[in-house]
Amino acid sequence: MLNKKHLLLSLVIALNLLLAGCDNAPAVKDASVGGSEIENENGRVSSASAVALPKTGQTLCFDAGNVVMACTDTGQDGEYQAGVAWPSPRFIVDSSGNCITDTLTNLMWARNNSQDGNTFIGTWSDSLTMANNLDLCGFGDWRMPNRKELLSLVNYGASNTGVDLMNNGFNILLGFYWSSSRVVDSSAEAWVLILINGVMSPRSMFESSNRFIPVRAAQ
Amino acid sequence: MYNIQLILLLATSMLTVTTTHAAPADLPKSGQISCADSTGAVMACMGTGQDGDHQAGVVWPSPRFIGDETGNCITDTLTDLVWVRNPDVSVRNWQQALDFANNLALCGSDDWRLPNIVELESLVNLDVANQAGFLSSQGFSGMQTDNYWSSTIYAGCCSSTALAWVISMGHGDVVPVDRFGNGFVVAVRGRLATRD
Repeated sequence: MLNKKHLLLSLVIALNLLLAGCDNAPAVKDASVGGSEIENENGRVSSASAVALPKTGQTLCFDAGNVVMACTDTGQDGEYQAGVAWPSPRFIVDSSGNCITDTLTNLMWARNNSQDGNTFIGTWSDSLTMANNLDLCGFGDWRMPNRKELLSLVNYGASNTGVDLMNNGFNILLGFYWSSSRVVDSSAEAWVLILINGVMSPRSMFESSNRFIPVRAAQ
Repeated sequence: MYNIQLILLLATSMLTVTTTHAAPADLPKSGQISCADSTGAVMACMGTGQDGDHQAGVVWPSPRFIGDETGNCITDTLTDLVWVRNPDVSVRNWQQALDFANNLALCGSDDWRLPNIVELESLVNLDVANQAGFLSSQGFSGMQTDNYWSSTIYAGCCSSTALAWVISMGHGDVVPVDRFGNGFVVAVRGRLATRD
């Protein structure tokens, strides 16, 4: 005989089944995630923001002769080091050795410059297509990173940001790297990161020797 | 008879397990929402793989920039940084820029500073050709299509001159320039505490 006890159990089971269904839905990454309230140096509580910017990586301060100096009262980046601290370890290579996840941003990157003889290099248009069609580490939702995502790889405290990435697990060459962000004006240019010095500047979409690092959202 | 409270507890505990995991520093959207072919002609984004196609990142709140009652300061609700709304148009070298920002007293606060390069980049909208124009549309005034100083020194090798990072608020190039050269300042405050 159906009683209140059975009804309640059924409700609980139905609710959990419903939630399991939501879990399988594709993650919609446009929901606001953001800061819980934090107390800054003046003891003021900040309101929640949509994003928390990461640190730049700069930890030192320099005098006019480019010699390291004490940071106190300089107002330099190395003094305040504003932003979210980088997790340690920050980059984690997967078991296949082909993919590397940035735990600071939850982005998963291709670890190498090529895969199965297919090198991640070409014109902007060809590279966009290559990234879109990539199958790697069991995932098929790869794409070319946009300017913001590419910039997130730069360590402004390193003398060579490309070498710094290699020291953190990437197996890539120094060079010019495409972003999926085009330069909005009449010239056919896209934003390119120079993975040596960290410069982000426009380059012709027709350059065929620029590389790219495929990216996807890690869970 | 089952305890109804126990059942509700079980149900709510199942609910919390399904929350998605946020990164320490989820990245904001770049702003780019349109796509174009290599002649510059606007095209449909679907399937191109361009930034405007995927639009990856956290949505910008709307309204994004909110001015304060004095009219001198403006908060970016995307990042929780507070900026000087109408920065002066004096040119300064990097050290002068640092000193000016550090000594600023505005909107009842004196904890102003020169933004670091990541903070300055957060102002860049990849959907426009003119960053100063975009910021003007958002409530800023006096922004120049020229280099704005960051507090971040260029740590790269092998330059004979001391450089610091700037962003050009024309297109938005991120480049290191001579610290004794000229640039503009938009000071910032806020968000110094880090989250774990």
